[in-house]
Amino acid sequence: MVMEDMELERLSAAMDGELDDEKLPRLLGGCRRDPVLQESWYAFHLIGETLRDPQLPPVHLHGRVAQALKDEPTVLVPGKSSVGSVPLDGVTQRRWLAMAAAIAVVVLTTALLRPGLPTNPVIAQQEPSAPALIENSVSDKDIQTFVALHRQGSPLSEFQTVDYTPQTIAQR
Amino acid sequence: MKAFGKGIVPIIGLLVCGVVQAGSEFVSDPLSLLGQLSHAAHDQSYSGTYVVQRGSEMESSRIVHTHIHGEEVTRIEVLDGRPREIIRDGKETRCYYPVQHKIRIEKGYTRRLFPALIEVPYEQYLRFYEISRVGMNRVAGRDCQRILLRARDRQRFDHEFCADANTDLILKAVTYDQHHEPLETLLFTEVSEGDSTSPELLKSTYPESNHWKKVFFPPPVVDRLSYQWSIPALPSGFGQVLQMSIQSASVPGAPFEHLVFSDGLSSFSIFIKPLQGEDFRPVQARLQSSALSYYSGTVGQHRIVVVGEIPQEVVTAIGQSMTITEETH
Repeated sequence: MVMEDMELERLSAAMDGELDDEKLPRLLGGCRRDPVLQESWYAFHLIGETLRDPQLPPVHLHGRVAQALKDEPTVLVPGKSSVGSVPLDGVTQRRWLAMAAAIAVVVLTTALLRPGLPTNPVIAQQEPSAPALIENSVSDKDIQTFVALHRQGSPLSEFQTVDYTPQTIAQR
Repeated sequence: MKAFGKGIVPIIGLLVCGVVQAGSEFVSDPLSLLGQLSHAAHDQSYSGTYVVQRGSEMESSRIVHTHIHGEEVTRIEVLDGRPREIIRDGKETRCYYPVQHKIRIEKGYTRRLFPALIEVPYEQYLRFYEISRVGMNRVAGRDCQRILLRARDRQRFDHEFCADANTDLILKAVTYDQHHEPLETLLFTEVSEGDSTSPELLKSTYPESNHWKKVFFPPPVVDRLSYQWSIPALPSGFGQVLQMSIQSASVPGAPFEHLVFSDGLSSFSIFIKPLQGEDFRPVQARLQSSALSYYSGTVGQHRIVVVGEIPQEVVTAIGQSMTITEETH
């Protein structure tokens, strides 16, 4: 497990141009022998090519990943989980987190925005009374509007958090 | 045997000390204790700097609280982000927004201002929270008594206050989620008591604000609605404190209803918006940046949004239980 992680990390580093020259031949040899590494090689390239596909609308990857990591609305606050039984170091964790975020954005973008596919395919099929469990990529503006309105109306919200937003209100 | 006795006594002693320290102390007169916390915040004069931390948001403010001609007066200046200034006297609370040249005036509506977090009637807290002392802490260089308000059900969160050992002033307040992780923390970083405050300090630093636009809250009353609702899953102890109709530039479409409920320590809002063809995503989420639970769904031809400082499953249950009845004429 540790070896696989290290190989995948080296593979990712090689694609980023960050792998030392002396380690590259060994990695390429491993790719020839190891079908798992070969699949990973093709998968990583597919992700990169999809991201660079000019047919796709711009995804503003950096901003969306940054926003997703910042707010990350999470369903029902699941408990902390560990990846496998081997703790990963900080560099590896960041690399895989970035990779996972990139895959999530690509999948979401290709599913929702690729020309030729029906627009809004998932949402339109949702049963209105049974909301989907969405982990991120929710409409931040929509949510933040209602958060701001809640803080304006709640007597327990500190006044500091009450931001001024133009609106017309009337009491019943 | 002697050796055994010599070894076991310190161990038992350590265990007993550990249990006593970790355990909570029953409060024999919780109403009196809550009254002390409330009076300390309202009756004393103090000034200091405190921090509000909620999720990933953090903001610090400078507070001055005193009495002028027997009237309680509070001035808060927000030190981070866009400048805001809040002044409360016996008649109203005014919040100055110098960037927008607006003043929000809250009259007949008591918004809590740290450290005045406990308000009458104190009995409301005892019905839904179990109160105990859980040891000492140190905040802003002062010893303080930790007081835990543990929720008696799973429909609200636990709260903890740390009250100054000498003055009973709340120096720190924490709201915990169901995993006992802090959701919101308010704490003094420095505070001093005394009545050396000049009345000038309690005036707005924006003399030109006389010409700013004034926005009053709560808003004036308008006609009744053409629909009614019921909330079968309304958590016990939460009473409606406000209902108003909103037309927001941020939410296109017809005006919608905003209901606010509170149990004295936590609150949530329900928004009921007639659907007019707009698209939105149903969502159940915990908003980590703001430490709020959020639900968005539909009931018939209305969109329902529930957001507040209560557990996610409660927010979802509230939203999913609602029914809307259109009035027929």
